[in-house]
Amino acid sequence: MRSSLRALFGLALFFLLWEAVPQLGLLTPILLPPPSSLPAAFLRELKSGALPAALSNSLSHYAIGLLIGVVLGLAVGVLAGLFKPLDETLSWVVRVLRPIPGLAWVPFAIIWFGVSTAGAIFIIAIGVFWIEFFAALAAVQGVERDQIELARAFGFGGWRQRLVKVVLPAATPGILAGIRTSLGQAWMAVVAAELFGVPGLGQRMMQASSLLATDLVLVYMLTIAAMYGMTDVVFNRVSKALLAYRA
Amino acid sequence: MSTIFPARTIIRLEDLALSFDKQGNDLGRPIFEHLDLEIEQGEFICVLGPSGTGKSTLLRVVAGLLPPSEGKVHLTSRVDGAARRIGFVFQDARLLPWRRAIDNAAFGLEALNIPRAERRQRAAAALAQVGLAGLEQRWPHQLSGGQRQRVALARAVAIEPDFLLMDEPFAALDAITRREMQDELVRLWQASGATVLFVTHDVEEARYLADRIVVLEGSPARLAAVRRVSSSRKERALRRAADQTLHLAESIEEWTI
Repeated sequence: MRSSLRALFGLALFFLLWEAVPQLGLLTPILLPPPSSLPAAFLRELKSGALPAALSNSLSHYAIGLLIGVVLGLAVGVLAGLFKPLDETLSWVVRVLRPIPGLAWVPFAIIWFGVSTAGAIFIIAIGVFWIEFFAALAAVQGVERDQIELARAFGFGGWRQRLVKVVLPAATPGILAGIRTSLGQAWMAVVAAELFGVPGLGQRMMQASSLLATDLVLVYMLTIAAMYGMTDVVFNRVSKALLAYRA
Repeated sequence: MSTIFPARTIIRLEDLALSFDKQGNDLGRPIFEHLDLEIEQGEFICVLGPSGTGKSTLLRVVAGLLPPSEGKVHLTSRVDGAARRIGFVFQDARLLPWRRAIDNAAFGLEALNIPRAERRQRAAAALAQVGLAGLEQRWPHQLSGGQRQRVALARAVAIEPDFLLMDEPFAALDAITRREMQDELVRLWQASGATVLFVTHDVEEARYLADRIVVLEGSPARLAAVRRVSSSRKERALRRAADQTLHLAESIEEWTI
């Protein structure tokens, strides 16, 4: 209770300082619109239907990209964690591909998928993939050997049985931490993925920005923040329930 | 030793040698060698010896978790033709933290393809046998060290094992809990007819529990002695009770000074 009060206080302070900067004349409202000017802009976008349309587009990019990235990253990460030869084979491929930001893939997304939903999903999925790959790899490699030995001692002979009975449950905290990071990363990728013209929050933000409608840019930034905040809170609840066994 | 079953050899170690450690790393020279031993069905064997003689590694070889460098392990199932069942109890309770007590106790049953309802019922019965009725839904972190080791014991006996392999299972417990667990184990063993191979470095514990004591010594370790413990279980219990009374009397004297 006290901690959520503090969080609320921090948020209030943040908006207060933000409001103060343009109000005190430190920056002109065009450079930094005060938060008090945003509800009007928000309502305009809401009424015109631009915001709901952009939001629903982005949400579908987000959900599908996140799902594909997490599932693939999880699968490859778990397999590499289980089988050392695979980990070794991938070690330099990973080093080559890992540092490339999602934005750098935009030209290829356009060439391969066109300016399309698929292209946007590709950009999001690729960013999420690495996060979940590394999280799953580390989590699986970190499973205690004693627990594997226990499974073998009690007759779980095959790796598939050990995967289901010990490895995945033991790796769940690490895997969930990876997904949580991915939830945020995927929203950042949404903006990058829609910069090149795929309809959504990112595209709308770029349009507003080219018109110097900074209040609209902020409305969309805050919309993304609110979406992330909600997904994170919901996910945190689910996580806590799944990890209820911990003290 | 249990008299219900006719005496027959159920574990046979033949010129066994091992030069790997518990993790399977090659040590370049054997930890133990030339181990020959025959164990009869239903026997309680304690393996005694200083650390470094490969007692717990031997247990892993018997369980098939490590291949021997030389020699052979023969295990015979109690029921002809049936797959042999091994219940393993480790020094740490080694419960899976994401499973409640009852699901930890049911762990070994899941490898035997037993239907879920029967698994739960047998796991609950095993927990009751070790005195944990009512704690089925606890998480491991909500149990004391002794209770956790009881769950580990329940997990091993729930599968109705032919062999109970125990790696210093009570070494980390306090003296009182350890004695309770020893008595509990003897009861479970007598009721189950399992053959027990129990590793310990505590001579008193071995003398209290074993039908026969197998001593490992040297480097590389060899079988230094095999001794039958002659006193009956009743005599041992009486002696222990007497010792404890004496001990209590001494402690009280110390306090009053």
